[in-house]
This record gives sequence, C-alpha cells and structure tokens, in this order.
Amino acid sequence: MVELLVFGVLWVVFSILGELGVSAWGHNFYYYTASTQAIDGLNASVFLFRFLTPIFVFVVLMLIYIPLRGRRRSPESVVRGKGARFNAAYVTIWVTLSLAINLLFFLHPTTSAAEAIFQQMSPQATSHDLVIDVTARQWEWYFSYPQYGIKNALNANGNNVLYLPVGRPVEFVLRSFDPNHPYALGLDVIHSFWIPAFGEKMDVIPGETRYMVATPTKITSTETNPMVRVQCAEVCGPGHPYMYSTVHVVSGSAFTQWVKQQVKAGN
Amino acid sequence: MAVLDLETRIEHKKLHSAFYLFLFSMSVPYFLMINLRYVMIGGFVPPLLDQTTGAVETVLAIASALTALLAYRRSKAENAAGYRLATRFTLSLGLVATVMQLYELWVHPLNPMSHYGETFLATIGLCVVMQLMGLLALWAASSRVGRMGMTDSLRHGYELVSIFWIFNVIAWVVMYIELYFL
Amino acid sequence: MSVARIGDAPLPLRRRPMAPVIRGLLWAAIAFVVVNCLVSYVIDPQYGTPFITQPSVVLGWVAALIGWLLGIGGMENILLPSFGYQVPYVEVPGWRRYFAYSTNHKVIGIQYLVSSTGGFFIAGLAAMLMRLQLWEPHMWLFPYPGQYIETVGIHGTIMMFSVGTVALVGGLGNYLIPMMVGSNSSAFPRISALSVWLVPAGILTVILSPLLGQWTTGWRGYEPLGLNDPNGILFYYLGVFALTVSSLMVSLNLTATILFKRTKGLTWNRLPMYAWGILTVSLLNIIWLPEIDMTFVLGLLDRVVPLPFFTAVGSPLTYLEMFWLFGHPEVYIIVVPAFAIWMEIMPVMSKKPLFAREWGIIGLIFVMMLSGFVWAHHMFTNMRLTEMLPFSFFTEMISIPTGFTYMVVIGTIWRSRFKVTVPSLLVLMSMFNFLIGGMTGVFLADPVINLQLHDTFFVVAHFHFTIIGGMVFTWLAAMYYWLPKFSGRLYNPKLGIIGAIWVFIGFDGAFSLMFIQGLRGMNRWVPVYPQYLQGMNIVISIFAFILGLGFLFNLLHIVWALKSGKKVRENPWEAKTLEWSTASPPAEESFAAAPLVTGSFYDYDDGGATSLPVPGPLPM
Repeated sequence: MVELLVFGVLWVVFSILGELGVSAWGHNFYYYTASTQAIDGLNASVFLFRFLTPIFVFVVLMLIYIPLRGRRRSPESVVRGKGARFNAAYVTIWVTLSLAINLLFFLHPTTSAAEAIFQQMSPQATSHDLVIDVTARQWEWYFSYPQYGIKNALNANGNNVLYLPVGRPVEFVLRSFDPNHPYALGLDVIHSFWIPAFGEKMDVIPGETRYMVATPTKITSTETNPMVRVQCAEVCGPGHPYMYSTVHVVSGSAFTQWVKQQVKAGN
Repeated sequence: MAVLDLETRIEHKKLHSAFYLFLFSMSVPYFLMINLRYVMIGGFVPPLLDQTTGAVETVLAIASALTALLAYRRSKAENAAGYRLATRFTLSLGLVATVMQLYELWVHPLNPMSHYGETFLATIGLCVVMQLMGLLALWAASSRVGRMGMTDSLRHGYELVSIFWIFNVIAWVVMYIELYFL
Repeated sequence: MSVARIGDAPLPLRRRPMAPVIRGLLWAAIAFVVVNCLVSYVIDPQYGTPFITQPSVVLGWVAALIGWLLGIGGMENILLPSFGYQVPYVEVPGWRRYFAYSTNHKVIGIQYLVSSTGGFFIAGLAAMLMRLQLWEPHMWLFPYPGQYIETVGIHGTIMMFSVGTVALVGGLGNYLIPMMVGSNSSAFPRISALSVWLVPAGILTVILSPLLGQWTTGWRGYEPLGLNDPNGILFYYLGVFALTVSSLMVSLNLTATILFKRTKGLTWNRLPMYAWGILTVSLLNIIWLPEIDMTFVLGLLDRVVPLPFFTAVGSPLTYLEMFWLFGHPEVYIIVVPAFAIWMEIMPVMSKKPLFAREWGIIGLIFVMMLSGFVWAHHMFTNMRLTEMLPFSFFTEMISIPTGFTYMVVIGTIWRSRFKVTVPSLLVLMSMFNFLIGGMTGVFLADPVINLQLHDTFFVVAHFHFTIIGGMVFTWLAAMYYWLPKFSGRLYNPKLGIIGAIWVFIGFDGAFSLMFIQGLRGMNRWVPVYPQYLQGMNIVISIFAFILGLGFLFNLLHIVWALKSGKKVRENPWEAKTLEWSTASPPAEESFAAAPLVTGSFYDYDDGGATSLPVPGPLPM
C-alpha cells in the first residue's frame, strides 16, 4: 500500500512536470503554422499530448521505479499467491481507462477535426474559394488559376510558382499530368502535394481528381521560412527530391497585381 | 484395409488438417483475384472470350477431378495399381485442360491499354500455375506408387496429392463461372 | 582411409561429393543461363537480341531458384523421393551441417538466424550509406538520386522481409518452439529444411537488383511508379517472393507443430506465451502472404507484359489497398513475437508468476484480429473522405490490446525482486522504445494530424521506434537470454550492459531527432533537402553511426560468448519452460523421452515442479 502511494505521488509529480512541458513547448509541435488547417492540426496534437503525458509518465516510471526498487526489496514484500496472478482492480482500471481514452480520442480530436475539414471541403463551403488547378508531373508542379485565366504561373526565372492571397480560402484541384497519350500509360505516378507550413498534404493519383483546401493566415514566403514551399511527399522516381516549388502568400492587393502581371506575360 | 490403432489414425487426421490449412492459404490468391476483377471492371465479360474452349476445358477438368476422387478412394483401400491408373487418367485429363487454358492465354487479344479483360488473363494464369504444380505432384505420385507401392504409412501422401488436384479443379470451376458468366 | 596390402585388389577411388552450397550455386547458374538464353534468343527475342530481357530474367531467375533449391539438397531429399527414388543422403557432422539441407529444427533455426543476421548487417550497411549521403544537403556520396533511393529500397526490403519477419519466427521459432512444446522435431521438418535456403536466395536477389538497374519505389513497390522504374525492380519482386514463400512455409510448419505435436499434459491452457505469439503470427502469415505474393505477381505482370492494372486507365489505388492489406498485418507479424518474448523473459527475471496470463493471450489474439481492419490508415492522404473515420477508429482501438501486454508485464514485475540482467534490461529498453513508437502512432491515427505527418521523417521515426524498439531490441534480449541454451555458455555481463546502453543511446538519439525533422518539413526518400535541415541531419547521422557500431559490438560479443563464454549450468535462469529442461546445448534429440507437463510454466513462486522427468537416463 505504501509502495503504491509512493509511486502515485511520484507519478503525479512527474505528470505535472510533463504537462508544464507541454504548455511551454507543445505549441511548437508544428514549428511554423501558416494556415488555419495547420492550427487545427496543432490544437489536436496539443490535446493528445495532454492526455498521453500522464500515460507515458506512468509506464516509464514503472519501467524505472520497479528495477530500482527491486534491488533493495526484501523477500517478504514480494507479492505472492493469488495477488501475483491477478488483481481485479488493476485490470479493470487499466482496461476501462484505455477504452475510455480511446473513445475520447475518437470523438475529439479525431472526428471533430475531421468533420471540420470535411465541412471546409464541402461544395457550399468551397463555392467562393480561390481555385487553383495543380498538375503534378515527374518532376515539377504546374499551377494554373482558371478563375483569372492564368494557365501556368511562372516566376521571372521561368520556374513554377504559387502565389496566394492571405486570408482567402483556396481550393487546390489536384490532377496528375494527363497527356492523353495512350502509348505511354505509365507516364505519371503518384505524387503528394505538401506545403509543410500549411499542415496538410494530399496525394495526387493518376486518373483521379483530388482536392485540398487551405486558408493561409500569414503573409510569408519560401524566402522567409523554408517550410512555406510545395514539396512532393510521395516517392515518384529519381527526380522526387527536386520536385518542389516556391510559395508566396501576399496581401490581397499584391495578389491582384501579380495576377495582372501574369496575364500580361501571357502565362 | 489394415486396422489402425487410435494413435496412427489421429496422426493421419492431424496431417490432413495441416494440409487443409495449407489449402486455406492457397485459396487466398483466388479470393483476391475475384475481388480484383469486380473492383477493376465490374461484371464485364470480354466478347472475344471463347466460350467453347472454356466449356470443353472445364468439362475435362471436372472429369479429372472425378478420377482424382476415385484415386483417393482407391488409396484409402490401399489399392496401389488402381490408384496409379486413376491418377494417370487424372494427369492426362488435367494436362489437356491446362494446355487448353494456355491456348486461351496465347490467342487472347492482349490489349495493354485497357484493363477490360486483362484480369481474365491474370486469373487464368494463376489457375494455370497452380495446376502445373498439381500436375507435377500427380506425376510424382503415380511414379512413386509404382516404385514404392502403397503401404499404410505412405498412403496419406497419395491422398493429399489427389485432394490438392481436386482443390485446383474446384478453384478453376469457381473462376470459370465468375469469369465467363458472371 | 583403409590401408591396402600387397596383393589386394586396388581400392576404388572415393570422390567427395560437392559441397551443397557450391552445387546449389552451380545448378542455379546453369539453370539461369539455359532458361535465360532460351527465352531471350529463341522464344521471345526483342529488338537487338539482348542477352537479358525482362521476361528472360524473370523466367531465368525462377529456373535459378529451382536449381538452387535442388542443388542445396532438394534433389535427393524432396524431388527424387516424391517420385519414388530412394537416394541416400547423409547429413555431414560438424560445421558443414549448417551449410547443407538439414531436417534438425535446431540446425534450421540457426540457419535462419544467421541468414537474418546477415541480412540485418547488409541492410544496416545500406542505412549507413544513406546517413552518410544525408550529411550534406546535396548529392555527394551517390552521384545520382536514383541510386540513393534504390539503397533506401534495398534497406527497407531486406529489413522487412528477411529480418523483421524471419529472425523471431523462422529463427528463434524453429529452434525453440518444438522444444517448448516438448517435441523432438517440428511437424514438417523437410519443408523448413528447404525453405530456409530461400532466405539467402531472396537477400541475394534484392542485393543484386542494382545490376539490372535502379528502382525507386522503396520497399512498398507502389504502382504506377513500379512499372515506370528501371529494371532493378524486377529483382525486388522476385526477391520478396522468395522471402515471403520461406516465411509462409515456416508459418505452416510451426502452426502444425503447435497444434499437433504438443507433448502429454501440454493443454491449450498451458501453452507457453511464445507459442501463442508464433501461433497468432503464423495465422496472419498464412492469410496475408499469399495475398501479397499475388499482388507482387500482378505488379510484375503489369510491368513485363505490360498490363494496365495499376496505371491511370486502371486503378493505382487498388495496388495500394492490396499492398496495405498485407502491409499492416506485416508490422504486427514483426512485433507480436516480441510481445510474447517480453512475457516469457520478465516472469523469469523477476521470479514472480506471469500476471494475468489470459489477458496477455487475449491481447495477442485481438491484436492479430484487429490488424486486418486498420490497413488504410497508411492511405489517409489518398482515400475518400468518407473512408477516413472507420480506419481511424480501428487504428485507435488496436492500441488497447497492445496495451494488455504492458499491463501484464508491469503487473508481473511490480513488487518483485526484479533482477536487471542484460536480457531484462534490453526488454525494459524495448518496452520504453515501443511505447514511444506506439504513442506517436496515436498522432498518426488522427487523420487531420496524419495529413501533415504522412510521408515525412516523423513516420520514419515512428516505425523505427516500433520495429527496432519493439523487435530488434527484443531480438537482442532473446539472444542473450537463450544464449546459455544454445551453447552452454554465458555472455560477459559487463560487456552486455555496455552493448545495451550503446545501442540505446545510438538508437534513441538518432530516431527521436527524426520526429523533429519530420515536423520541420523533411519528406521521405530524399538524398538532398533544403539547407535549414542540415544541422540536425548531421547529428542524426552521427548517432546512426554510433548505433551501427553498437550493433556490431553486440554481434561480436554474442559470437564470442557462443564459442568462448564462461560455461554455465544448464538452466542458469531457473526458468520453467520446457526448452530449459534439455541439455545446454541440446543433444541431437532434445528429449530422450517425451516430457509430461503437470502444471503452468509461469508459476514462479510455488516452488513446485512443472514437468516431471520421465524415468530413464537424463539427457546429458
């Protein structure tokens, strides 16, 4: 009994320390968040951390405490008999808690956050979004803005570039390079459209159209923070490491200007 | 038939049970191919599929399964010569059926740009490969029974070979119905 | 050698038979050349009549594999007898025995372990090359990125298919399970005797894949990249086919052994935990290995014929579904034997009964069952939105039976006189590392968080924590634990503790930083990366080199201990499972007479005997 109490106190102390750590550093988990989706993911992570910390502390403390105590334990204090083979209280608490925590996690953050994303991707929600057609090909990204008549956004060096206005939800329409050339069926492969600072990615599957929704929250760019870039995240051949593009999130007026300039350049 | 003591009978039952575990394992690819067919192409039956050849080879296959069953019964009765004869029939009928399936594969109008009909190719190919393994086993068994005869401890090996061939035919009939009709 | 006397007839010349490995290689080479040339010159010559074409190398490899298996002993022991020809085959004594076909389950176990260890260090070398390349953010060690990605693929493939699923199942399983159930042989010794030789063939095939060309899919072989890649990927398909067939045969054999060869008194209620682990894992193998083999055959056909299954007009996602249907149970196949070994070692080391044994068994069984429901959590980024939640649900649920193992072990060692020995320390480390792996899995199970972390180094760290943390650390623990059984000798405790701490520091240092790299935006399969990630990559590489040297240190220590360690008595841990009642090392026939089991193997505080020695001469 005393043993249990001592362990309990240690567990509470270290759990509190752990929770303090989560409060201090938990919000750095996503390192740099530049979209509402990233913030949602970060909040979900911090929630998980809060509940996982005491469990982690419990098990690790057991793995350290028991061997240390075991050295100096007298033979009389060893648990024997029926108690050594089963303890209803311990098993019941363990099983019930693990079930409860799992159900809790399933409700929040899993379902709640997922439903939020589903809602953001629903047709009503995306009807006013900025639409960008993203085409993935071995080994580059094409960005076209059908609402503005930009077929292929390029920067001054001729590289594909992604410009986004801050605060406005954008819907990325993801397709694989579709040459309609029947002699080259294996022409394109699975890619993954990832902007690390936006906290989400979506795979691009040949023959399918997939969608990803993001709302940028900061004015930033790849030069400011390299996590703001488009990076292919699914291995797609030898060019996979080089399949990235720069991203610029700018103010609404700067975006309009950029659109004008792209259209004038004939892109 | 020799009277077996309980221990040996249990040993034989265990061997057969272990073999059925193996057959369970071998049936997984067939289930996968059925699934795959419906996922890829729904209920499409390729129009160039030769129904006559398919019907003939299936009839031959079923006949070979019946002779295999006969062989199995004869093996239980420790009838070495009878087993050998029945197994040879099974081997011949099975060989012709397999060759006809290979013919279907050979003349199949391969279309690498359309997935319609290609699951047909892969499924028949799976059946052919398994049947080739079964034919090899049948050949080995008929050769072995000629050289080593049939004793009580040897006979379950022969029985398992017949069971394996029957399994192959059942798998083929299921695939046949699924591919050619459904 | 006899001595002839003058006037005797001349002695007949005695020719020593060719060593089986040499004969196997020779027959494989001949078979390959014959079939390859047949296909590439006669049956299907392609434009320019090259010596090797895709169909010719595939069919040539199949012929070579058959030649290898026949040459290594399959001819005299399997092929000819099944046709009725009785050919004498003598197993040579001594070390040569391990390089030939042998039906002794202990020899087979060692053969599997050695092949596995070889695969481990070869794939480990590949990993060292990878970490060396990642020291710099530009190509320097490898001239071309495809070569790096190919190395990643070789590393992953060999580790997953010849180490992860083989060391504890084919290796330790073949050696220990027959003894643990009180039998002198496994159920179908000839199957395992032949299947063990598929492992070196498979490893060699994957290693030789650069000869055919690069392949960049990594161990998962995703389509349509698979049919788009250069030809090295052919040997990926074929090598994995050989390795998985070997595992399938082992699983069939061990399942039959556990089901049918238990000794008297060994009821289901008394089955050892390791046997439960192997039984559940074997069932998974039996169902899913044929499935993945069919998937890889389809991938191969897709490429070689070519067929349009997994291209844009077909369904690339179908390949992913089929792969992960196997791929997820695969990782449980890797880790469930480790859980079972925890539950074997910990009661012995704490001299306390196994706590809540039935819950431990339920945990293993439910992990096995649930593993078939969670596969698409590898596909959150490419599935329909409506499919996400059910998979997330089951993925989160599977953590519950996994937790039962922890519940059982903690309950066992609580308030005991737990001894920190090298095996028990490694089990503690394993439990710690797997805990981290498992908890990071909770993050990955959440679809929204998964959308950020999928295909980043966070996932790499997660699965290395679960696999190395769960399986490799436990493999080390098991080797030290059963070392006295294999050889009658003990390791050096100080060196063992040093070795354990060495790999722990190397491993946790390297891979915990990988979590952070993933969160900072580093994706997978890249030999080059943005400059800002370099600092941490250097640190990770240094820890990785420390880890590699640590594994090497442990290998040398274990090998030394097997040959020249201090001799110990037969059962130094005073364990009660049946394998410990045999001699150390065990005789040719482990049990001179079948043991009779009278009680539980895990009652460590009752002082009573668990198995009765049957009257007769004791095994020496």
